[in-house]
Amino acid sequence: MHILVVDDEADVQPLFQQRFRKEIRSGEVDFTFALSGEEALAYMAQNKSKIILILSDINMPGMSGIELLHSIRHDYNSPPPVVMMVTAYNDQDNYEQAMKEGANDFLTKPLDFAILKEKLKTVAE
Amino acid sequence: MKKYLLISLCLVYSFILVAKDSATNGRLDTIPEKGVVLDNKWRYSTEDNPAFAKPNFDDSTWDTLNPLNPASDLFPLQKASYGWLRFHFSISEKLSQQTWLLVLRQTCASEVYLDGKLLVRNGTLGNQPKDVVPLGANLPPIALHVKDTSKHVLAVRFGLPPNPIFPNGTFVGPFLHAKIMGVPQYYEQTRTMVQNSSIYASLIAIFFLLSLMHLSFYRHNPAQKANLYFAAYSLTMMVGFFLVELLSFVQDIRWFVYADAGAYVFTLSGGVWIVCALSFLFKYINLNLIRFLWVVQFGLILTVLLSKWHIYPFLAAIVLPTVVQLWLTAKALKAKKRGAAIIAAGFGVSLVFVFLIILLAVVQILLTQQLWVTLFLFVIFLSPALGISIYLAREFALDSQLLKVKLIQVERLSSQNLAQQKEKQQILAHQNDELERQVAERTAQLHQSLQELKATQAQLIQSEKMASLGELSAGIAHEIQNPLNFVNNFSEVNVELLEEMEAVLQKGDTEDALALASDMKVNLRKINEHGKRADSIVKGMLLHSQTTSRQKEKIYINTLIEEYLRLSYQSFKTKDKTFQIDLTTQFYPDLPEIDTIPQYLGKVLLNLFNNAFYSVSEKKKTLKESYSPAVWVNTFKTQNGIQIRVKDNGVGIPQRVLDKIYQPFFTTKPSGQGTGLGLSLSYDIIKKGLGGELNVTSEEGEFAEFTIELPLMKVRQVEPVLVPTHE
Repeated sequence: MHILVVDDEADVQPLFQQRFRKEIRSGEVDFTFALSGEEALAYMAQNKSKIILILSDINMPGMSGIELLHSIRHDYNSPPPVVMMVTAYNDQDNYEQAMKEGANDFLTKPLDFAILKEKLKTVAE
Repeated sequence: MKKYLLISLCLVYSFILVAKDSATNGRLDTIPEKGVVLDNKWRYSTEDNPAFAKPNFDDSTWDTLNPLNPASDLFPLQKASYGWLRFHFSISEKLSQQTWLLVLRQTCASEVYLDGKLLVRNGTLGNQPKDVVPLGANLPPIALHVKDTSKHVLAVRFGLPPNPIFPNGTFVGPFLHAKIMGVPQYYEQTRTMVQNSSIYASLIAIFFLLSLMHLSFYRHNPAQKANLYFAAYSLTMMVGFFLVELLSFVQDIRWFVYADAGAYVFTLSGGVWIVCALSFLFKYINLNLIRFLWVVQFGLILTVLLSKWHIYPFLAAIVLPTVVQLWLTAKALKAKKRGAAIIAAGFGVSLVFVFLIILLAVVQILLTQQLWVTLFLFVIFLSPALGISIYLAREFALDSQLLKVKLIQVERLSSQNLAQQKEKQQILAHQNDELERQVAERTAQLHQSLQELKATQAQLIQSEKMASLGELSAGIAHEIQNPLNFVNNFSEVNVELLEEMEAVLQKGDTEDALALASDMKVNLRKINEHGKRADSIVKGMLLHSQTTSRQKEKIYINTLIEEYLRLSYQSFKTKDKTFQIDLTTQFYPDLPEIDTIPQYLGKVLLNLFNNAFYSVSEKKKTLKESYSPAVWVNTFKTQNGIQIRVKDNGVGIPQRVLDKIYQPFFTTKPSGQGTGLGLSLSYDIIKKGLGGELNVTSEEGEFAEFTIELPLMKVRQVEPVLVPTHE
């Protein structure tokens, strides 16, 4: 399963790589990291149907996660990837906005990787 | 008025009588009741010889004349300066029993001889004509002692003055008017004259009083010119009547003639004065008419005095002003002018008597009674004058009454005014007291309000802090959640790695264990880094809400700016996630450290950044797609410090509010959105707290740029900035 992680925090990359060490090693998942929405869209344009799942932070400089979601749902929606939004703001406003734009799920920071892995399993199935 | 005719009738009465008196034929058989005038049968000579006085002198060759004619007619060239007249007569038996009087009126000087004996000398004859003094009026009667029926001779030696007494002879009167009458008749005539005289005297007195009265009226009220003209009329009439009165005293015929002429001039000009008075009294002032009337009147008077036919111009001189007077009065009556009726009544009475006189004159009843004529005259004269006088006096009285009323009104008004003034003053005083009380009250209230305001202000500043804290909270939460995320997850990963490491170590695989250890070390560094990051965020947040005085510390400005810009931007993005701002930062490398209080400066920066973001977002709302928001944050090193510039291409600040933006509570944001304290606090912090400068340049609709100048040098210990000091 190919997962695209979008976050402006550079340390997200080593964190995911270490958290999913075993899954990466077994080839269950493989990650691509983008530091901004723009970067993510550029990557998706290159690798159309490769991506199954997108994990995106909402609050980023430049394009926000919500905007990215909007773009994905309008421009890169064939086949529709699973998009999960991750945010530090656990507020109703963000949640509703994300759902309205067609997010599949909504996770809050700090990330609980156990829950994340459970969710990934349901996506994989 | 026709009354003048009657004056004139008096004046020329004698002429009329002359016409009526029976003529003689040189023989007086009966003498009529009024006496007989010796009008013809006079023989005359222009030689001067004392022998002509003798009774037996033969004068049969002399011509005859009628001495009732004026001297100028009888002796046109005045050749005869001296001459003689002789009259032959005889009387009947019956008449010779009585005493007879010879009454003379003449325009010459004379010596009268009866049968050669000198009876009387009138005037001065002298030796030269220039010495002649003609006494000819009001002469005493001469007793004629004629006791027989034989012939008698009356001889008169006369002397004429060298020049004519008056240009018009007819006006002067007869050359010699000799009348023979009985004592009773003479007595009767004298009595009538005395009565007339007394009537004239009373007219003089009355007109004198009237003139005085109206002059004083005029003096007290010069606005009423009618009084002046009426006084002029009264004075004129008084002089006229005085001259008429003179006629019964003056003996010198020259004076007599002049007095007579004067009487005409004055009495006839009175009518025009009345016209003047009426014009001014009824306010029908036509100066041209009045001037015209004067000219015509004087023309007529001159004609009366200088022509032979003086009765017609005389009548005209009476009728003309009378017509004008009646016309004025009628006009006033028609216009229902106040008091016109009084004057009309005066004229009415006068006219009634004029008609009576004429009527009676026609039927020849009254004219034989001189006294009655004079009495009627008295009424005819006085009633219009009295009418006008009463009118004017009434006007004066009414004016006085009006003045009295006005005076009372004025007094009342002034007392009212005074009362009002007093009342006003009282009200004013009362109001002043009230005002003082209110001012004191208000001052107390204001003082209290000020206290409350100060408290509110402190509260507001506090809540502004809290508000900006609230604004930051979203940013802060995000900022903390991120490092927390790493701390939690990396530490969890490390636990897993440790477990793996234990397993690897048990196997004895050192290489793998070392690799794991190095991974763990990296992770631990990250944990530590993110922990510190969270710590600094929390510290900053705490600092931000602190209000206690702080020590300055050396800080890196660029770092501080970056931190706050990030905070502000994050917070701003939470409000509007779709918003894109082109952020450009240009920091002067190796900016010197400066002594400042970071949380104060941070507060200022936060304000400037928030404002910049707000401004560009406002502009975006109106310009939509055509506009790309941008914010520039630059730092510079200056000669004696550093400079921070925050610029945005937003809505800008209008010129008219540029000087207000640092005022506390001034905000351009919609109500409820801004406290209006941000910039005022910022200004105080920079100026007072940090000893720097805060400046702004802006162009409305284009950009706004705030510049903070901070000094390098050590500045004094600063006071806490709590309350804006603009008061």
